[in-house]
Amino acid sequence: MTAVWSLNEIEALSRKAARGAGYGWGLAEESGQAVRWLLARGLPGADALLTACQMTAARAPDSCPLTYGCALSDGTSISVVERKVIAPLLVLPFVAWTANRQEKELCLHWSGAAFAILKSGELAFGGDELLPDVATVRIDLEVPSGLVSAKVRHRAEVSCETFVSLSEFAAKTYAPATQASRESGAGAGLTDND
Amino acid sequence: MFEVEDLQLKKVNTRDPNVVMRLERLGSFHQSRLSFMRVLLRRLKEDNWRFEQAKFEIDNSGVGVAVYTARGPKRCYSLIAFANDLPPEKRSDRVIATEWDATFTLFDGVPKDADIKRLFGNIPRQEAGRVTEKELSVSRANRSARLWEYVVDCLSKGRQPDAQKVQDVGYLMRTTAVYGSGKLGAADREWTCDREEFVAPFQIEMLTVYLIRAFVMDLVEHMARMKAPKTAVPLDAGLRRRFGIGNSTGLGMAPFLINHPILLNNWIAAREEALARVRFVHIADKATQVAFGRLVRRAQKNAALWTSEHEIQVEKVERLSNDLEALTGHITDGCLNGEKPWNRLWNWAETALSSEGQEQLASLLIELYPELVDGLADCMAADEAQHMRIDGTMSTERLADIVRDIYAWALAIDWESPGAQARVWYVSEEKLEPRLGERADEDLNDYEQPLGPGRDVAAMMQALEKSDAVTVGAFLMKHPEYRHSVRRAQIAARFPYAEIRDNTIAADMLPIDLLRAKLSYFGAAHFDPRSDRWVRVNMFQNAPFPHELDHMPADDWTLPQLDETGS
Repeated sequence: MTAVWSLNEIEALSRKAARGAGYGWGLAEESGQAVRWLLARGLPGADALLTACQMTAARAPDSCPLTYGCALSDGTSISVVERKVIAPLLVLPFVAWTANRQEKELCLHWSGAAFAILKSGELAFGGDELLPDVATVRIDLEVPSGLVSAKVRHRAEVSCETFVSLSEFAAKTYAPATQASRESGAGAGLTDND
Repeated sequence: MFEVEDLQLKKVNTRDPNVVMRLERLGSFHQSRLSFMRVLLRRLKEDNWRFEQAKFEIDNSGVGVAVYTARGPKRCYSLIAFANDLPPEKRSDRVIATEWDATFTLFDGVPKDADIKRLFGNIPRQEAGRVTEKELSVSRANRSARLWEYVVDCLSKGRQPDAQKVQDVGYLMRTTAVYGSGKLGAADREWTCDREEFVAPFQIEMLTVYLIRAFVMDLVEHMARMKAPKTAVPLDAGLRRRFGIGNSTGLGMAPFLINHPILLNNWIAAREEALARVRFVHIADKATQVAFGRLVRRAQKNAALWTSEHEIQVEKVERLSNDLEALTGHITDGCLNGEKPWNRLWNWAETALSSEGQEQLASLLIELYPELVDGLADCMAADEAQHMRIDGTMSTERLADIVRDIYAWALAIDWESPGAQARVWYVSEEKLEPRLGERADEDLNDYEQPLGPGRDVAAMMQALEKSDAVTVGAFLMKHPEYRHSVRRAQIAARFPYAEIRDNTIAADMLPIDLLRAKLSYFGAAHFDPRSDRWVRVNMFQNAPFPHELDHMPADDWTLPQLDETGS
């Protein structure tokens, strides 16, 4: 079942899930922003992150879409233009940020899907293989024909199953409750009755 | 491609971040013209907002629903209030609470009956409920049991409550949470931040609380009428305004300032810019000097009314009173005549007053010049997402320079010493709320939140010194674990007040310092810590009510008036 969430809810959940899946806080922050960017364009970013978490991409930097994406958007020179990555959809926001920074059009392709970040900053895309587990991605300047503009949205549609699965990764960042933390950690514990 | 260097703000004459961004200093901040409650009321008055009680269906046990609609030039918003008859035993420990005396949401527009029905199934349940993009905030409040019963009783018997008793508590209800920006499914801030009325930060939350206050006062009078329809009287208007809305805030708010460095910068920078502008006023005419003297007396009266049982706060209020007395003595000898009087006064204050007194003086100086200050409220929001990208092309040498400049305080700390990392910020599985633990006593390291930037940047610096990478991007390829710290350092290089320049995980760190800084920007007064990590404040106390805004000053209520006691 698909439910509607605020973008902030999904960004926060994604940040925590990425952290729970083994990323450092910095990459986790970027994961949250990346998933938000995708959902705000109607793309299944939360599902892509779940794939990355489940396939333990955090422990495989060479095929990790977030590590690759960060290197791109940092402006780090990377010699390889083609790369085989897990959950390739997660690379797209970083391509968009890179295009924005370089003020040019950039395209991301893999077999079965193509995306173009246009001069206006808008996204156009086509294809039906949006969520492969793994794909060899290519980044170039060739905008293919037949792409459709993505409409910007302000709410996130994420299936409850994906939400619950990401929540399980997020839960790894929560400390189990102890009596000590209940009593002193939050600072309250007095009555609120005066 | 952006260059970090190009964006660095050239700050002339504003205070050094190494002075302002210390925890002890932030924990001495006072509300000012730039506080968000005041920004809200000025706008509501200026734009001639109209208010109506659109619905008030509350039975004689105090259960029911009320709707208050605020109509502005372009849009309107409605507070929907669900009132409850909560047995006293349920009004306990806020950590485990599942029911409240009243619950609220700010609705985008005017709700239809179907909306109210839908919200009735969700708002009273708070975290267990869901809302939609039509709801802008979710909030709840509990009665101050001791004052509530007393006021209802007095009014029902046709008497006004005793002013001193009102003053001692200061509110009839206390909010324990005001959620905005996407929480529980509500509209994201990004959805509303382009509306003029919501450009300044936290305007949705402040409007929610402002309307809650109107509802609570109507409710207490209603309950008195229900109790004794023949004898009940409403509150006298002057006494009525002495009721604010209490707010009870725990650690949940503390990490906010660390998690939003650019927003923090913009808040602090606006106030510092305001202070700098006033310090460079050439001459203060007689009327302005007199106005300042009156403000100082009002601040003295405010300090006298500020009570707390917490040892630290008692001392702080005492220092404040002493400082204000010294200030009064200093300004009587004509020292405000001549050029740049405020700058001279400020330079004196920096040597003569404690942080409490200095920060109070900063707020009082800003108070004198609305025309120089009020416009700065428009600069206090932040588009944080725009500044989140790391510049990997920066040289590691430059990054090291930034760290040595901005984090010198962190590099000077011996992080191996027992007290340096004594605390751990974590999120509890039980309530999903931020908590603070003792590293030595509990096994919390795996759950630590990134809320000790000083330690993390110092660790990054060690790695940086050992690395042969020439660019930041190359460094991060080998050390992705430092992305968080690199981002902070690059942000801090562009935004001078983004980073708190103190150890936020030290054994002697006081979370209430963070809380006071944030609450002062909200405009809260009479900061009253109940422990080192939990506080009560009063919001909108003495402010005009919505129906009074058109014939009363909107922005002259934060300090007590002098004529009330003839002083």
